[in-house]
Amino acid sequence: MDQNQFEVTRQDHDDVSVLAIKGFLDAHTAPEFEFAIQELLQNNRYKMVVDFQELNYISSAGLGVFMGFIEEVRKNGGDIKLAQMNEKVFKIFDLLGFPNLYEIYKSRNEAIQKFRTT
Amino acid sequence: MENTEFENLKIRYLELTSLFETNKILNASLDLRAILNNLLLTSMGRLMIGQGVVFIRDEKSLYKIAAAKGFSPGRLGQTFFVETALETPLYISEMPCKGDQFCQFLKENNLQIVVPIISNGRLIGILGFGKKFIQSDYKPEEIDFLQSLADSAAIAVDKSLLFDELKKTNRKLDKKIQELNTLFEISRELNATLEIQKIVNVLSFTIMGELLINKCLIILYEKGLPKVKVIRGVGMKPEPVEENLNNPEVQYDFLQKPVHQLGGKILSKHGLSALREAGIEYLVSMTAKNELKGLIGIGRKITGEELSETELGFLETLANDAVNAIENGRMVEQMLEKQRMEEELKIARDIQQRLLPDSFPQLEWIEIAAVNHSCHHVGGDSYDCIALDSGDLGISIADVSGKSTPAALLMANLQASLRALAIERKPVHECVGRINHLIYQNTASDKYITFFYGELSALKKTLTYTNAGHNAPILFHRDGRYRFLQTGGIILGMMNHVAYEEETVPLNSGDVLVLYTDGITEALNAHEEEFGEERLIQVIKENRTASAQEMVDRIIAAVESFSEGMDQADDMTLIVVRLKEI
Repeated sequence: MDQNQFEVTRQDHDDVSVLAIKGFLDAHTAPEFEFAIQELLQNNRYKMVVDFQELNYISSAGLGVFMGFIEEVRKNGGDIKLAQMNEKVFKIFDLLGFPNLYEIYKSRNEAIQKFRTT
Repeated sequence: MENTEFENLKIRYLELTSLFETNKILNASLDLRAILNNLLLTSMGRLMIGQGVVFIRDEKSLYKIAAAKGFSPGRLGQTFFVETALETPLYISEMPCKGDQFCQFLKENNLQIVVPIISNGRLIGILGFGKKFIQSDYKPEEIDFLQSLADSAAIAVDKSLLFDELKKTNRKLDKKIQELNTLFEISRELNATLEIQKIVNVLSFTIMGELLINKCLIILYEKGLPKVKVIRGVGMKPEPVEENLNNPEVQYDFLQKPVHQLGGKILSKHGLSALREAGIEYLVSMTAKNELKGLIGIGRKITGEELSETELGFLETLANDAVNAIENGRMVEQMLEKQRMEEELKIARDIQQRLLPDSFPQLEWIEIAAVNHSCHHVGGDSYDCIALDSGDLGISIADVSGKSTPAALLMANLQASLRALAIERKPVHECVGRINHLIYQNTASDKYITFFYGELSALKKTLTYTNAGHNAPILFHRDGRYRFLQTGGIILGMMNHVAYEEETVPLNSGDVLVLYTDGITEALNAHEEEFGEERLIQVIKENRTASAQEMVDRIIAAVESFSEGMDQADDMTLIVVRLKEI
């Protein structure tokens, strides 16, 4: 996959939307991801799971997108839960202190289920 | 007797076994907590002690509770200043307590004995133990055992402390690398784009992600006015922020210092209430060439911590990178704008050129010649010659205010309306009145037109005209008399429902009608004198018998020689109509 490539696909499970992200989420591709989240907000869908399984790289700008929406999402009774991060990506999350702010799950289903139980 | 000795040996053996095992476990692990838990559990299990605690040296003489058993929860992390130089195990009852907190803690919790953990001659930790279950006193060999355990744990503890330190340093290093990566990436991205909105978007995301911030504002100064370009975070509106920052003193202060924490002096001085209410905590200046180009406003870190020196430095570097990219973007935008304007001018000129008649009606009794010089590509002059029925001729000249496309379009409008009305043979003053109405309705109040329209009747040999504020055309008779044609009314587009007058004047063969725009009479010479009507009349007089085309050429030649070497500011348009001699 090209360095500049990034893909986001959405799948809805009732009121939970899963955004599967793929490739490189960096300064260049962040606007694309921002757009995907904005679309969910416009449809009042505040329960989100971001699936990192196919994400190769994330930079600060990519993380910034998460920061930009979390308050609004939580204010509306939703959350952004993260799932299936590879070690490299997790390391960056960890370095910047994200694990204290976001729930991170091993599997996509676990993250979806978490919305059901709480 | 022998039995007791055997028992003692057995106990000794057990102690040695547990020492050996502990040692093995301790040295295999680098996890401090596991080591300390093991140390406590072994001692407490072996000697049946109810309470145990480990203090680990944090820095200098500060010792932190790193593990505890048999205490109420919440003790971990508590730190104490330890004055006593502990070298050997000590009964707490024998400790010289000077009322310090460490001593107090030990006594309050009913601890009996402390054992030093010494590595390389340094006291790196202290073990504290409470009462034994079966007997109250610690026997000397039990104390020996505890000391041996502490000694064997010392190296492992030291090693794991070092390892922790290394881990911390490594993490710091990783963070630094991450920061550098971010700077590298954003600088690459910033340089790859020239779209200012894209630049500020990237900038905001990078800051928020890197510093765990969820409120971000980016303001750019455009022509000295603050404009909010990015606004992220809940419940912020751009207008009050712009109002807050639209103050030369505020701008001056931000130019002096790269990072301001909102609060204290800067707040009381300028009362940046909107920013404060929006939760903005820091403002970072973006400056270039000693000019404030913009500001980055950010909220507190989500963790509630203040920004560290390193983080502030990171912000400054980022702001610098961004301002350069933004300036480049601006330059390109200006270049594109200029290109676009030039393109627009070219289109306008094309429209205008196409509006001018490229040939004149061929009439038996009249010759016509005209010239239109436009300076700076596009002017507001136009003229038209319309062949009417019965060999009559309609002739118009106009000067539209403004230049470029709007003027050209207005001119096209004017010409179309005139042609439609003239061909219907509406009276001249009515044509002009209706055109005025149309122009008034369809243009902004700052657009107006000076306009002259006249119809030459072949049968009656007359000219009927209305002059709406245009430089009065000159009708020159063969005998040298001349008159200015100025009957009409005010310029087009100024007022609605204006009643224009018209005048009819007789024409004779050999008469010359000269229509011109102010570019002719207001042409300047090196002394800043105008060419003027008198010089114009003089040239016409001298060339009374010349053909229409010759007349045009001579007038232009006269104007050009008058204003030689001067850059003319206005367009020049000239039409000469001459009644053929019969």
